[in-house]
Amino acid sequence: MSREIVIPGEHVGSNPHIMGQNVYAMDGQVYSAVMGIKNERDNEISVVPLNGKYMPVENDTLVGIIKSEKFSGYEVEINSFYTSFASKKELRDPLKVGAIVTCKVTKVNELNEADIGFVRSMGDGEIVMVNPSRVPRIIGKNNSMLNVVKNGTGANVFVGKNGLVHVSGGNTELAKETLLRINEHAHVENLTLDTQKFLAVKTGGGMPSSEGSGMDDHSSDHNNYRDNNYGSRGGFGGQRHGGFGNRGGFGGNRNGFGGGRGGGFRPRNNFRSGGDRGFSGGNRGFGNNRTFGNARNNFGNNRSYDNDSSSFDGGRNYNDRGGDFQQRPRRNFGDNRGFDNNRRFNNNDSFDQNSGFDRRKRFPRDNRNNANDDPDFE
Amino acid sequence: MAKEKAKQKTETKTQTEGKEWWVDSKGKRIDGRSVNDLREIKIKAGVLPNADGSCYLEWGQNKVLVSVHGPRECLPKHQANPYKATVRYNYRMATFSVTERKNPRPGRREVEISKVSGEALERAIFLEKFPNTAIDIFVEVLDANAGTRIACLTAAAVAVADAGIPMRDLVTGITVGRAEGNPLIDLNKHEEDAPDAVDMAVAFLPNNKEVVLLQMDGEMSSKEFANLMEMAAENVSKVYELQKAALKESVLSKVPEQIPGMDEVEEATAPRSMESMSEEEQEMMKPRDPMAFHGHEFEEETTKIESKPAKKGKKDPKKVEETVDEDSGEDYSDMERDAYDGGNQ
Repeated sequence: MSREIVIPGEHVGSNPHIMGQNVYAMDGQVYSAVMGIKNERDNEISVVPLNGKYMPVENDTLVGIIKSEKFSGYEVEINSFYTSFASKKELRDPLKVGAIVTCKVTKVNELNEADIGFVRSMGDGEIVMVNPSRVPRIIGKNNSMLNVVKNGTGANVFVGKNGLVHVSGGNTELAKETLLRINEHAHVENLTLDTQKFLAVKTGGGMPSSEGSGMDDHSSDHNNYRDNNYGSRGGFGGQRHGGFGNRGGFGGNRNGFGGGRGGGFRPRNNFRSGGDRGFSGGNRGFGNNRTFGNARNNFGNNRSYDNDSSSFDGGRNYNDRGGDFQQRPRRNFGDNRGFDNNRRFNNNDSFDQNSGFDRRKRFPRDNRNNANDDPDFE
Repeated sequence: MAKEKAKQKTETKTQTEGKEWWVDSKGKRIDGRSVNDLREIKIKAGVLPNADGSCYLEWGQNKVLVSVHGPRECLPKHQANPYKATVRYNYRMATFSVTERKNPRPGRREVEISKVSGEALERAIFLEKFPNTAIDIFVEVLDANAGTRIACLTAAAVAVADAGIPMRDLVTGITVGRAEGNPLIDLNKHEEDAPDAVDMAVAFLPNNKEVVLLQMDGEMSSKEFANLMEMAAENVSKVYELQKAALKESVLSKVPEQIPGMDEVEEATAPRSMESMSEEEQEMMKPRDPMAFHGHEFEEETTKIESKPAKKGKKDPKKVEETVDEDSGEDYSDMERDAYDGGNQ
């Protein structure tokens, strides 16, 4: 079916029961409401608009520009009817006027005013303003068009649903030019092929492929965004790795494996399940640090050293062996041993093989773990 | 303009010996048109890049430029309507648009035309979709010769459609009238000034011929009136076709410019298919499993990481043939908004 351009009021169908977007019915006939492209299918008649302002929709990922600073937050321009407000409390770093941010629409009211959340700065780069209605075409099926632009220019391109595109790195100028070209000719057939040829001639290289690597692209991270942004730190020896997204990841919170450790650190088995499920991760074993009602402690890895359980409503630790609940700071700096890291008695014994029972009680006169030298032992 | 008139008068003097005339015995008018002919109309949509929608229209000697901004936040706030958008139509004539300089300050005529035309468009636009906003329509007449308000309204409808604002239908207008007893379509300045002239401006929603603007200047019988309304309804479709053509042309005329070298590039550098690559290259070309962990070495007992089957982007080698041609016009679902989940994967 070829792409037919329709204007407002043009007749597009006769079955009002299968109306889709941007059409209306009158006297049993269906007419287009906007200027756009008719999309007639068996189960739906709709019109894809070629123009129009951005209408905020919940959960959309947008690119915004900080317009001004208020006392408690920033006014963010999102290319819609109104600007949105980003509260300073939610932000990690202060932003400047003119900064480019990415954000997510959390709520839209009946006046189309959008509340935004998860505001993150995008760093360096330039903004290209395209038509919000044409964003799907700029992304393309399976990101084909976007990949062509990225592969052809080597630039990082992040397309916000509101029509603002952040471009950085690579051949930024060419990327901008290409995006504007796609935007203007969004209705043309075989535009991806045309864009590939255009970039091939402009860069003097080959035709950029429309396949993406999927690896270095973090721009989808917002889709799986969870409240706990700290999961994005840590990980193995540093930042996020590959496509983990912002879930707990392997390193869990903060320290992670690589950070500040040296060798001799043995990660627990079962990364896969650990990373996926956060708290109820694979490092269960028996008697590992299990805590109930305490969200902080177990992301991915059941670490024992940074679980200061006493800071959360009592911080109960269920000791597998003893079966009793107690409240104590954990001191296991060593490996995640397989059994009973939370012991009822002095945890400093976990380093050596004498764990499992209280040496001091057993061997009162043993000088090995001299209680007097131990600052933690009262 | 004055010269033109004088020229025409000298031409016609031969026919009627110095007397002014409007329609001669053969049914021809002063400018050679017949009673049912429109003046020449040219419409171009999307001419102002800074406006959300725009249109330039020439109707006979009239030249009109319209820009539309909106829907945008309605300021001052007391003008905002919490249930629907507010249409603010601004009709202005340039000082040089008429023979005698027009005072730029909007007079009663401008205010009236603005009000009436704005209300006509309100009937067409889906205002309830944009509560609390304003749709600003700025209409500038650059050259005036009778029938400007209709020319402006016709152009404004095109501009609003160009802006992507949802409408029930375009608004199309036409002037009809009477000069020296003859019912005429599309009067020009000379005919308007006839002694018994009646000038009527009508605007319709072309689909069901709903009247959204009707103004008359003069005196006539109800029969004449009914006759003129008939004539208007018949002839308005000619204007509508021109509006439609202009809007479609504004889209279709945008063809991507072919820079030199684009035709040869395709064969030379098409991405190779998977089959033509060696084993090793195929291995490399496969998208890496994002869950697989590499780059950091651990000491003993690192459990072997089982890689999950790669999720996105991995195609069956057999399917990858040529360069992407998924948008060969088959399916326009790639333009649909909801087809994309975030999009930037």
